Amino acid sequence: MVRLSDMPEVEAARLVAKECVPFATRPWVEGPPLRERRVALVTSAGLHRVGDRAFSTVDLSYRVIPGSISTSDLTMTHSSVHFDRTGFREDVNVVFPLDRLRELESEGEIGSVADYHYSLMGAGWPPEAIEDTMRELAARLREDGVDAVCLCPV
Amino acid sequence: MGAASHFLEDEGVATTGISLVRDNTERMELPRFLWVPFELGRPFGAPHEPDFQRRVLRAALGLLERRDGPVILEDFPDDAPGDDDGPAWSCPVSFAGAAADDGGLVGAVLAELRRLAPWQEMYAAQRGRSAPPASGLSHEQIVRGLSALAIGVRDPAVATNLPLPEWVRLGCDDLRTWYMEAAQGRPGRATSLELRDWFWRETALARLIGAAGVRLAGSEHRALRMFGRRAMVPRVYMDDLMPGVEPYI
Repeated sequence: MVRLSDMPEVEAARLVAKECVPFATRPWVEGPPLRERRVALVTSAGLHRVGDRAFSTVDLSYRVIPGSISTSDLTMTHSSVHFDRTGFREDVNVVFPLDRLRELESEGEIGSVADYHYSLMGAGWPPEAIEDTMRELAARLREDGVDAVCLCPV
Repeated sequence: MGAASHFLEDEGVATTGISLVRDNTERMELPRFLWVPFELGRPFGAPHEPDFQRRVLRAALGLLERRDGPVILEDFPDDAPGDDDGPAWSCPVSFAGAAADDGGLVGAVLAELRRLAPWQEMYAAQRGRSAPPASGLSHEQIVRGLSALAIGVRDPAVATNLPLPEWVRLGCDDLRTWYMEAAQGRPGRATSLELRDWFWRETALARLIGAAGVRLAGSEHRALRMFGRRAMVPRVYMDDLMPGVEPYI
C-alpha cells in the first residue's frame, strides 16, 4: 500500500510536502519499437556492489552496476529509514528488476540489456541538485547505446 | 525520480519509470510514469514473485511505445501479492527481563543480540547468505558508541575513520538488518509491517537508537540536528522513541 489514504498521517504529510513544480519545458523522446531497444535501469535506492563505497548521508554521486552482475552481489546503503528493506534483502528484483529485464531480453520483448546500469541515492533532492549528475549519466548511457531507461524509485 | 526523467529526456534519452506517490508525479507533468499501489521500498511489488514483477516491468516499459506524450501517468491495476499466506509469524524471542541483565540499555541490547543470534544464523543458513555489514564495526562497538551518544558524549571514541553521522547511520543499518534477519529466521512469514512494528516498538535497540537520536536532534551543530530528526527513527515511531523531538518534514 502506498495510497496516501492508507498511510499514517505523519508519513503521508512528509510525502506530499515535497515541492513538485512542473519544469518550464516538456522534453519527450520517442524511439524504435520496444523489441529493438537497449534498456538500462536507473535506481534511486542507494544500491551498489558489495565492496563499493557506501553512499553517505548527503550524496549526489552515482554508482555503476554492471549488466552482468549477479543481483545477490548488490547491497543498499540508502540513508532513509522510511521504507521497507526486508523485501530487497529477500529479492533484489523487488527494487531493481535486472533479472526480470534479462528475461524480457531472452523472450525478445526488448532488444538488449545495457552493459551498465546506474544507482543514486534519492533523498528528495531539488531538481537543480541532481541536474549535473543526470546529464553526465545521459552521456554514459548514450555511449552504451541505450535508448530506453527505466527509472526505479524506492 | 521525476527530475531524473526530465533531464535524461532533455539529453535525448527516452525514459519510463515507476511512481510510488501518484500526487507528486502528477503535479510534475512528466513524460512516462506508471503509478503502482505498493509499499515504499517495493516498487516492483513483492519479493520472490517473478511473474508479478515482470508484469510491472512490462507495463512500465510498454509506455515507451506510446505516442501521446509529453505527459503520461498510468495506474497499475493490481495490489502486490500479500504477505499473509502461510503460518502466522511470532515475535522472535521473548525480551522479558532482558533490560534487567545489567540494569541498563546497553545490557538489554547485548542480551537481545545473544538471544537473537541463533535465529539470525538460521536465516543465513536458510538463504545461504546474510547482508554484508557496511559500517566496518562490530555489533558491540556500535552499541557502545550509540550508548555514549545517548548519555551525552558529543563525539564518542569509536574505532573508525568515518565521520559521526556515517558510522551512526551505517552502524544502525547493520544492526537493524541483522535484527530483521533474525526475525525472518523464525518459522512463519511476517509481513513487512509486522517486522517494522516489532523492531521499533519492542526492542531495546530501537530505544537505544531513539535515545541517541534525541541527543543528536539537540546538538549545537545544524547538520547533526537535522540528522537526528530525520535519519534515526521513522516518523511514525518518533513520538514513542524520541519524545519532544519534531520530525523533519
